[in-house]
Amino acid sequence: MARNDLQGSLDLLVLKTLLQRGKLHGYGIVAHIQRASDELLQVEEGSIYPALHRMEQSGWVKAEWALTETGRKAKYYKLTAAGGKQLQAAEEGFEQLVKGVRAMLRYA
Amino acid sequence: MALVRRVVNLFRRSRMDGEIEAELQSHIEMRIEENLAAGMSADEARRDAMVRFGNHVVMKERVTAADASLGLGNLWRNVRFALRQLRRSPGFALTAILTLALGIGPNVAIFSIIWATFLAPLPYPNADRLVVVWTHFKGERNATRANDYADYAAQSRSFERLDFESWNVLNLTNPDHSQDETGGLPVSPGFQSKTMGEPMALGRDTLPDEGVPGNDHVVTISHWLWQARYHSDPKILGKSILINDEPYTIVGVEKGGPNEQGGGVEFMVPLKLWPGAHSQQSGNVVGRLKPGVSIAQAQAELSTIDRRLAAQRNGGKDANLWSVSVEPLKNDWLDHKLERNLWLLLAAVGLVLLIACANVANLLLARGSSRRQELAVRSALGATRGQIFAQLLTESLTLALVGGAIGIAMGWGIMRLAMALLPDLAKQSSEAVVEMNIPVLCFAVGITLAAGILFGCAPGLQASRLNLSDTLKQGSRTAGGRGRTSTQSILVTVEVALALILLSGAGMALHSFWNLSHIDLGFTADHVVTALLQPRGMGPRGGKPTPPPPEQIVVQQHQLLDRMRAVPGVADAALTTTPPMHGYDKFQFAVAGQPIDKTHPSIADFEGVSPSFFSTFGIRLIRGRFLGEQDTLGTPMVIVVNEAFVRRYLSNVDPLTQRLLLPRITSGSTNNSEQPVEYQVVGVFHDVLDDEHLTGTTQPEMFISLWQVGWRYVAFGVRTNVDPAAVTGGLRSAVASVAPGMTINQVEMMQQVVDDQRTSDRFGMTLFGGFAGVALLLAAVGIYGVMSFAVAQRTHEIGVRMALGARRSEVVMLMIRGGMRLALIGIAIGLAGAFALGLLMHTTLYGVAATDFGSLAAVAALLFIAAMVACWLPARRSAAIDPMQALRNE
Repeated sequence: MARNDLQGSLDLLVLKTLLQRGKLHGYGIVAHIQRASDELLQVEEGSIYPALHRMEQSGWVKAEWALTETGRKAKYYKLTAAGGKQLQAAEEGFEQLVKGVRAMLRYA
Repeated sequence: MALVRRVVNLFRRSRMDGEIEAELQSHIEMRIEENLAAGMSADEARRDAMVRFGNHVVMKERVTAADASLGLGNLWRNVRFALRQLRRSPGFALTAILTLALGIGPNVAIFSIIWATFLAPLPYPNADRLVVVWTHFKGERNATRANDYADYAAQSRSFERLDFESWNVLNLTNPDHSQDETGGLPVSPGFQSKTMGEPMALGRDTLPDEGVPGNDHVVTISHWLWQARYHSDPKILGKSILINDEPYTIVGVEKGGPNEQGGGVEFMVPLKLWPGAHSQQSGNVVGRLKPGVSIAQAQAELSTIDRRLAAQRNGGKDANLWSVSVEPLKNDWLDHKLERNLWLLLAAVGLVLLIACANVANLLLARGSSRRQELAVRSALGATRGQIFAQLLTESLTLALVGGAIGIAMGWGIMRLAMALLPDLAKQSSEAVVEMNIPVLCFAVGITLAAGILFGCAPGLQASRLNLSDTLKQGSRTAGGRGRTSTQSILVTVEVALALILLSGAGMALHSFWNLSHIDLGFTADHVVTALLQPRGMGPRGGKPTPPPPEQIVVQQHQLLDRMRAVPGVADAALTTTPPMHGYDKFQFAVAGQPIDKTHPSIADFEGVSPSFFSTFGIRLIRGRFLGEQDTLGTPMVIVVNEAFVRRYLSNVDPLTQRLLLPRITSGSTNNSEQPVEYQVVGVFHDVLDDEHLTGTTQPEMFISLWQVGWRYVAFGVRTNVDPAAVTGGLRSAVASVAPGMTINQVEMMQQVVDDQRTSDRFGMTLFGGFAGVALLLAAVGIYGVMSFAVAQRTHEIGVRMALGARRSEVVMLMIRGGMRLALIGIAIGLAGAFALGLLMHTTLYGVAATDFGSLAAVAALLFIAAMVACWLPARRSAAIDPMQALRNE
């Protein structure tokens, strides 16, 4: 689920995570996706960073450096208003896709 | 500004590298920590973290790419994608690019002319301080009198220099003492180098103290004259040349202008004027303002001076009718008609470009429908609206730029063509260099980008607004959607309207040219050469010799005509005091037996001609007879008059019974003191245009025979049966052999004189016609495109109709009705625009009313037919639809 051609889905997962959990660093996002999807969605962990940086450039997320609970320096990401809108659109699009695929499968 | 952020990132790269590395590293370390906490060994924890993370180097590169070059990379990717798309549908690409080139090319061409003519700064140092001072009488620009100039120059403080350029044309004199056509002017000394700031190519400019009589026989010559006549002789300085048959010493050669071609002011002799010097000359006043002095200040100062002068002028009579203006020096010597024509043409080509944009927008919209699925998939995969919009806009701009590049090349071609049609433009303003230069190219790129954005926005917005779920759900059948169809309809309607406006302009220009070509000149112009006969060595100070007796003049003129008729190629030769279309004079006369009105005396154009004049110029006889060889010095004086004369002065009587009273004429000079002479009217001829302007009115004319008076310095006209230019050499030697004291001057082809007057109209007509043709083509293509699309889209509906029993002809009519409705609305809107254009245009036209119903009806009909054909071609295809296939096509 982490190849470039399905970038949209990865974006959706990241944005959703940030909506649910607020400020989070890359590692935290990966961990959350794995936990929340009952380990079904396995993201190649490094691939989250190109996505995060791209979303940062698009203005969907904001980033700042901060210390973790364990005192490590990490870059934290936060959803922006534009990111929220994008999430909504992506969610709708995804719902449609899922409905379509499900209908298709049921038909067969 | 995401793009700005990315560009900034490019420069912060090394720091960014460190940050990215730190971020990735912290991720891996957090994973290791967690693994250790879960009980893995240190080695195991590290290996697991690395495996989960993926290829570290690749990830880092991808992050860097996302940060630094995503925007630019996207742009490039979009451009590449756009080019690939265009390659994939070459038909569409070719149509769109050609359409754009057709829209952009004419704009570039006309703008290059307008730029050079009106907008480009003059190529002189500090040209913004150069001004022209015009004297106005009753609001009309007038030559300034030398005496007034002298007072302006002496009393004003606003000018660094104020110079006078006399209108007294001087001519070079040939070695055989005949007058050369090359002309020059007396000008304030130092005008070229000091006022205009043009360095001399050779030698020096004239000096102030050379402007006074006695020292004034020095001359500076133009670069062209130096090259053409003196073969760029490097030792020309100090040589003596004859001007008006007096020797002048060459002291300097001017720097060459960009497109000098001779025929202008080719030399300047110094002329200094000061108050009280009393000169009869008049001319232009050109000055250079002092730094910091505004035109308004200079104007105010000169006006004050001029009001003082006006009080003394003619004893203060009409003082309030005079005024003076200071204007920036620019190319405003152009014919006003031509000037207006150029601006109208710029507006016209602007409309062509709009039509082209509408066409391409329609093409893109139609194509967009087949790409909806593609775009929907893209957006389902996470492309934002902005990204899709950007991609479509990039495609449009790529199209525009390719079209623009071809358009610039096309524009260059049109420009050359236009200049060929209008040689006067280059001649009248030698400073105006019409070429593809930086400002013109900037304009071209500007309109190209504007066009790209204009036609790219509509489809881009439409596509980026597309509703994902609808599109994916509906499939391709009803993918049209109401919104786009109506946009297309509006675009086509606008196109038709604009095309009609352009066509109406072309129609009016054509009508005007037709009128001009069919003016009844009253004479036949083709194959006629005219020239003036002048005495050799007519210097400005040479006194007039006493004329020989009339008998001698007449004998010599008979010989001259005989000799001219003997020149090979000459069919007939005639003498006249003034050839047709070379102006007229107003001569007082009286009709014998009618009371004389002293306050409004009867006046008419009065010319002496040889009897062969009527046959040589092909003049038509209305009543009575022409002047004949039998009317000589001894026989009763006879006269012929034209129809205008009869209408004005002899309307209630039989003209052939009337006698006219005129002063006696002996050897070409009138004698008013003697008793007037009676002339019997023997014939009435059809009006011969005497006005210099083709559109002028013919005056009442009365012609007498030269054989009855003896009139020495006249002009001649020769009808040839070969190319008229081929006989001039023979005519020159004929004159030289019969009258060694005379020379030929101002040789003109009559047809050329007539054609030159139509230059501006021919220019307007050809370009307007050409551009309107392009507009018509584009509009037709637009209708065709939309109709084809409509037919393709309604295949299903047509199938249903036919299955339900609709006949093929009904289906075709249905489709045509749809298209023609748009065309008719467009034509109706266009007619309103055409009326407005008529109001703007008709003043530059001849014999065309502000509302030219004839040409409007013609162009509306033309457009209607074109629209009909454009509708019918695709509609015909709808008849070929097989209902079964159309319905199964789901």
